[in-house]
Amino acid sequence: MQLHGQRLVLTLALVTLNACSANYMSRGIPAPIESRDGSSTVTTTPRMGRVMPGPAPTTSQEPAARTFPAQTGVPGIDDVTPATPPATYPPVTSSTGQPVYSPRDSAPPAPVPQDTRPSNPVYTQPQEAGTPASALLASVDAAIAEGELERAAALAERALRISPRDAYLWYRLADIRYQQQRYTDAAGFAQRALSFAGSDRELTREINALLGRSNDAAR
Amino acid sequence: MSTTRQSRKTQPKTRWWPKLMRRLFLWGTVVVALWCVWIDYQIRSDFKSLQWALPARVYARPVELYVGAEQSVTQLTDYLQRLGYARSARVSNPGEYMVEGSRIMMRTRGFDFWDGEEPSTYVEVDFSGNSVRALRGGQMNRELAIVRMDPIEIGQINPETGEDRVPVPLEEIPQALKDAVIAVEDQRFYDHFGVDPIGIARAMVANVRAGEIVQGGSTLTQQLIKNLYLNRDQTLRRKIEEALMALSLDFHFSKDDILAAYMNEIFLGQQGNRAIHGFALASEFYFGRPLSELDLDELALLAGLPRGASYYNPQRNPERATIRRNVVLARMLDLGYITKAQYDVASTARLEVVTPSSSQQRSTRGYPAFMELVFRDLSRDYDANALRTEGLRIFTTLDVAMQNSMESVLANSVASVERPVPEGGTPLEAAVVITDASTGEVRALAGGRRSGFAGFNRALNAVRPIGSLVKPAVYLAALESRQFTLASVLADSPIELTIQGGEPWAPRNYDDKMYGDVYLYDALERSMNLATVDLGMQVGLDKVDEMLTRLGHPRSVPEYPSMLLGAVDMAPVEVAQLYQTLAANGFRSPLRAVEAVTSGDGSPLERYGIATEQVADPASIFLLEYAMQGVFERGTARTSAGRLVRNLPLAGKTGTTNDMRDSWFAGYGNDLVGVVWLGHDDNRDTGLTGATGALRVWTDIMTELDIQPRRNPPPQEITWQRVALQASRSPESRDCRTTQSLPFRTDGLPDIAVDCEDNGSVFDRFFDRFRDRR
Repeated sequence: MQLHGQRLVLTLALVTLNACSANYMSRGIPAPIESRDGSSTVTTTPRMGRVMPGPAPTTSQEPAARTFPAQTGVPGIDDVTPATPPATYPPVTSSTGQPVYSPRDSAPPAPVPQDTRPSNPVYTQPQEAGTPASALLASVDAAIAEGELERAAALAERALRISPRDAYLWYRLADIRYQQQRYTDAAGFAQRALSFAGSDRELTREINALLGRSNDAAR
Repeated sequence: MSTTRQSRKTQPKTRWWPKLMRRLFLWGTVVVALWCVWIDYQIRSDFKSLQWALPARVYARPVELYVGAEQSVTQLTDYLQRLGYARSARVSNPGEYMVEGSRIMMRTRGFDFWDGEEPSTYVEVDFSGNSVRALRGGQMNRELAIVRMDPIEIGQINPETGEDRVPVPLEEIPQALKDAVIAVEDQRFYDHFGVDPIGIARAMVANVRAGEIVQGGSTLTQQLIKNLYLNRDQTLRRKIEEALMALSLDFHFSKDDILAAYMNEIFLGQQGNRAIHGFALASEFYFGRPLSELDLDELALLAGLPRGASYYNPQRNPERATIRRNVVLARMLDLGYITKAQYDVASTARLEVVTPSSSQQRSTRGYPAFMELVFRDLSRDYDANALRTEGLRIFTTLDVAMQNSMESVLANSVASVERPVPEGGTPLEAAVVITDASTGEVRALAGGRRSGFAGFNRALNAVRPIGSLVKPAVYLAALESRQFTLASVLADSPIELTIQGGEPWAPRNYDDKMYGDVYLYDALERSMNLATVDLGMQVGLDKVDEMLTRLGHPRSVPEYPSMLLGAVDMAPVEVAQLYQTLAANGFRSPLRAVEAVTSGDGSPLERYGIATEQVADPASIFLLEYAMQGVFERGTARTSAGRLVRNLPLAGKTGTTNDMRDSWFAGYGNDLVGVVWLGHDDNRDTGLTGATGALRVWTDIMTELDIQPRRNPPPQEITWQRVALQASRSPESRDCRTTQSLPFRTDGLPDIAVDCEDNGSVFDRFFDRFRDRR
């Protein structure tokens, strides 16, 4: 309203302005809203690779009360699956039929998983279907298959929050760190897994094997 | 000089005036043209690179639902209310829920987490008491294994301007809101060229008719310019400049770009020093729900706010806001954006905004102590500017329900143990740290007795002597050396130590008694100072210092004998780290408050996962813990055992410093580690020991949180042996008439002077080996 008195000036100015700005017409129209994500000055320094001393002698303890898995049998050699799942790995879906984890548009293309253990298959334990840990472990497998190892670690940690004394979950986390070539971290998790493995001899053997590989690689 | 002046004076006016005018006009045109070019250049570059400083948003750990999860109807309902979910008669849209007895039905909103997207889905949760009994959902309503709720936002790290906003692209803004804004602010928006003479005329007529200002003449473009350059003075020159800028903006950019910028830029409210900008944030702020969930009447209310966000504030001035909303609706009806039926419904809808007294207020006060820890952790990897401007999303380990429970008992609990405060004295203060016993995640934190208030954060910054809290490190170093067992006999008798060039040091027991020959476990349970000095001097101060480092103490400790009794300064959060390592059976995991950081659009940046390193052997830890559980059963914490019946066994240790300046308690169960410190900021004596002060507060908190009992199966090399009840130093004085059973390492059995195992039969010894006392 207060601007009303200046309309004449403005109309004059408009003519001038059009003349002024005509030079820039060819530059195209930017989209201001989308430009907000453009510059990123975030400094991210990964804090990884904690140096640990050599492996301490570790002994097994009785397993704590497990909330899962109810084992359906002693896993034999048949239960061992290859470390790198086949390319036709089934997509993980929730019971709603929606994909649990959809790839992100912004994520870089999934790197080919670096298979550092061609002859070291991941030991798998039969899991009771429908438990939170089994659902999360399925997602862990899918993330590993996609080469997203850090995401796999995040999912394994979620499962550990629900079952903090589950030796198998600690073992899987150790295995993921091993695949990431973070060997000292892998050894730490493997030792933790051993402390919960109790009388599960098959699992104890697998953990010890992984611990040995991790310690060798860390040297 | 004088001649020149004279000659000028003599020149006839008619000769120089037109020339000067021509020159002035020429130069004036050039100046105006340059000005135009400058303004045009400025507006183009400014708008092109328009980049709002976006605060980092900090989220608490989300609730996860699965069968067996500890969660009650009340807890989940509280959580949903904190998230702004609307209780309704039927669940159809995201963000709606209903409660039927012990069942909650809802449609989640979904959220982009670091490890993947949690989709919006329909969920039915059945409860039985304090846990989830069944979980179903999805389109077929089948059983679900696990559902992660959206996280509660617990705070922001704001730009220095205090501006807060959630920018959204135009497509995500409901059409009705765009219509409403255009209808009420600038109905010829798509027709004018930045300024609108016709609109001004129309507004003038309308205003004259109404006798007050009902319409403005400024276009959306002009309002946007005003908002972007808000700090400039409103001079005539400025107004011309603004108009020129509006013309330039309109000329170079599309109407949609301008509208989108307007929708995100406009000022819509104030909360403390936080300025609410943009409609998306205003929706959260006033209604606690995203824009997409708002109804027409709510959208119309928001559209009315740019005219005067304070004057029409629906929280403080609901009547004015309702009238304004109906003006907006009427304009929409006039212009044909809505039907008469829609108008009738919307204009009679009841105004329902989030009242500042409820959840909003809580989130304003927030969790300043925990936020400081978050900021401190992040500042290692992110500079402050990035945190204030990049719109990062920060996922933390805070358990909001646990934090609230802890806060709900803390102030009263501290008041109940506080001694009368003398005139001018500072009140008793407190700090609490609660971490996850397995992973080292910080789940709750209080930096003072009134934990909702910002101020000196004692949990992080009160570095005080820890007193007897240091003793577990002394005893663990002893047990690890293999030269001591729980039944080793220590001398609780007068001792005087002289450090080179120092005063002689003669420690005393807290009660000034002396207990003579005592068992090692007993000395820790009853926190005997003289026996501990005896033990520590045998083990070696360097070994104790090394043990403190292994358990997670970041600084080296001056190796004086007084360190054995706690002349070691630590902040409560550092004490929590030591006890965390003990609770995790000798596996050290650095305490963490931040789990992950993503960019504003959800793409992963950094994750801070669990790390773990074995720093003590499990058998030694098991033996140490026998004595630390004994602290509750027989030792300095037995006064709390009665109140913790449901939760025992637990492990812990009391701590008191010289002249009762500090009262400490640190303890843990299977799930949690808790550290409580009480003291005065002026370091005055509290009149409290660890047992009469901090232990009571700890007990109040842990009964409220229902800490899980400590159930720690013994490692394989642990065996149980009977020893004499009375400690003795020679087999001659051994008294096996009354015995007790203690755990030992199979290769570290009790001394012959106390061993009563020989008195039993072979069968007894066999039986004892397999006996598990816990």
